Amino acid sequence: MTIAFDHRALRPLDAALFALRGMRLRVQGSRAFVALIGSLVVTASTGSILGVRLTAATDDVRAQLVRLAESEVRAAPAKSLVHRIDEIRGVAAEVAQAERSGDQAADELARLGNAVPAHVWIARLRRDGRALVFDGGARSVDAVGRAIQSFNTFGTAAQLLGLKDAARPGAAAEIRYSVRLQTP
Amino acid sequence: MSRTDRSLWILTCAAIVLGAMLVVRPLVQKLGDVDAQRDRTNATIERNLALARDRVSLDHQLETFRRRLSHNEISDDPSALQATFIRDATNVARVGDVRITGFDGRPETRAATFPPPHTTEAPHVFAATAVELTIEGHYAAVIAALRCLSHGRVPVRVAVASIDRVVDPQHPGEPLLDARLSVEIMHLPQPETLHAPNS
Repeated sequence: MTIAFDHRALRPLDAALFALRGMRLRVQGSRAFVALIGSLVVTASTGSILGVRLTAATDDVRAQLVRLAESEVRAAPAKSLVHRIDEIRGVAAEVAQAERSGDQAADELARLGNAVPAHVWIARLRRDGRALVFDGGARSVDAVGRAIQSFNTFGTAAQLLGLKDAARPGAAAEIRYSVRLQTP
Repeated sequence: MSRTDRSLWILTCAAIVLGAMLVVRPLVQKLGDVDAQRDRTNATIERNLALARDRVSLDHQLETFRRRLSHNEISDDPSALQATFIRDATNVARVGDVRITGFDGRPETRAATFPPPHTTEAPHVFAATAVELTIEGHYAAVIAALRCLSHGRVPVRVAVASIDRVVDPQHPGEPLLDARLSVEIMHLPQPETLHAPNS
């Protein structure tokens, strides 16, 4: 149905109402009027398309929530297992770490023993934080020097704390030394 | 341009702006939110279903960990663990040819710590009781004993506190080491964390 009329005789709202009722308007001489009708139609149709999509998406989400609840029920025993595995994994890790502690202490002592050159010995050793402090003896000052050099390859830095000639008359030469070794 | 045309253009612009602001934009935003929620829910459902399918594998993992810890005595009773540790240490000393010359219980204990999630700090599931054990033996025997002590039934952390070289006047060529060891006997604060029934 086509209605021909002069838009000047028609108020904008009336024209829009015609448009919404599906009537074809042939408006004489006004682009502005056509633009207004067009914008209203585009806005309304976009809104209705989006509204339909939104309704469908909301329905989807509702259906998914039901599936989610079902899946939660199915996964509950497995979730409890995962929780228990996490706990027992923590226990196992700490036990393994504790078991390594003895090996580490033994390795440290073995490497220190291997680092001691001939004619040098360690008499007393104690741990001071991350450092090892030890006293010992040697047959010569030169041997102590070699020992310090050797200890440097073991720790990060060996620091000579003291050196003393403790030889008794008639006995073999004995140099007492004290070293601080910063371990890595 | 007539007054009516100008009014119509203004009305058109207003219709476009208001339509976009009041109708299209809120609807698009809402649709985006609903889509995002749908994706999140879908991902959670997939995770749950995958987890439910993995039940057998999870059972297997739990069993593996249990087997790994089966030779360990894990309990919340520090006194019983200390007794077991002393027996183990005696055994190690007998087999390894070292002598236990001292055992000092200390009042210090370390509590279990559970740092908040997503931190790098490692949790300490175990609490610990500190004791000091002194052993005497040859160099190689002391090293071997150090290794064995931390592999006993009771989980313990072992560290060397000090070592003294002792020369026996009767065997001056075979000096002994007198090693003072710091030992932390580890015990669980809550036994049910490990022994709760499998649901």
